[in-house]
Amino acid sequence: MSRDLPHALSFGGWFLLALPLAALLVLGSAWLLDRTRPWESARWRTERFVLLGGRLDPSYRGERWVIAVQPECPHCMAEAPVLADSARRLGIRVVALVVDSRAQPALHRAETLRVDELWWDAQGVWRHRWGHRLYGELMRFDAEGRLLDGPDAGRGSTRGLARPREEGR
Amino acid sequence: MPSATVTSAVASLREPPACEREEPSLRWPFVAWSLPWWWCAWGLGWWRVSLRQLENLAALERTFAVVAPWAATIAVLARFAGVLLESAFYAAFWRARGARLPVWRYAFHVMLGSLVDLQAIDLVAARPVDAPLSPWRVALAGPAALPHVLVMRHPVLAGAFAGLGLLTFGRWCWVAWAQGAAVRRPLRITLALVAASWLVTHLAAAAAIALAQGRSVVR
Repeated sequence: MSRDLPHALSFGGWFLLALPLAALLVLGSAWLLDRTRPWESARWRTERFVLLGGRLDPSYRGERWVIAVQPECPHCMAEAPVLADSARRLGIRVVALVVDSRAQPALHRAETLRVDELWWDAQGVWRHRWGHRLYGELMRFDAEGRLLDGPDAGRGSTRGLARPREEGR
Repeated sequence: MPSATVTSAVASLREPPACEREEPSLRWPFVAWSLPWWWCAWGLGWWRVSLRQLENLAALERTFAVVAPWAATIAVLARFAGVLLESAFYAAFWRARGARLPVWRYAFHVMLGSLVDLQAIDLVAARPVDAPLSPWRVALAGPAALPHVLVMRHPVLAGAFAGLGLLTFGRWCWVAWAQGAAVRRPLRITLALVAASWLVTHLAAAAAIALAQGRSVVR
């Protein structure tokens, strides 16, 4: 009867049992720390970023799409022009925000990404203050710079949303 | 004490316990010569699915299309290692509780159960992204078959528990039966163990997805 086997588990066996438990403990702790850390609500404030290219339009009072791009990420670099074209058809201003780049990125031409403005997040605000992590994500900000959706949205942030200007302005 | 009795007692000490001598109660489900072919069919099925998933990424980045077949091969090897690791974990668990689970035989049963996952994935893939809700598909294949808009509302949970459907439940029952037959425990015990392990690993996956996503917006 197999029940009669001695409880003789080798070191490898105990290691095999303990390893997943340890991994779960580490993962759970990391998740808990991440969830309980107070993050700043994402707001589009240009004084926190460095302008690399494009042209500003101080008179624009509409929704703004901000795409987080990383020059080493081919997926988000390919996706940005597609999103920019979609936004332009809706008359919405599009911004590319270069994230996770310690040195000033070599991207000096906003035309490459077909965006209206190109900014560099030199202080790591996107990752370390806002807690965002996915390259290529699209953040929609209203005219006051408040995020329209995602975990930072809410508390009536969509109120006061200015209509985007018509295309061909 | 009669010398015959002493001799018999000493001999019994030298011999391995009866349970170690006997043939494992979990039998190979097919004849020996067909077993490698089953593994090949399993590998080919997962390679095809992995390649299809990777080609979706390659549609965005053309240079990735060149390495996709190799990446799919690595994914299959990683899955094979995962099956062996899962089997070894259960073997260690039962060994600690005084029962023997033959790793390779059990891994073969896990592999057969994994073929059901392939069917569930194909069932989801056969449905267009913008197709309306199909209750029977969701019941069989899990939340992965939900319309894209619904899945994106809860990307972390939908990502981790995408396959929680009747087909997955069937796979649990299959591997729990194999485990129960091997260690001679009631099905309810092994089913509870398999379900609990699945739940814990998928909660861990949800935590990992949540960590990777951070507060980023998923569309």
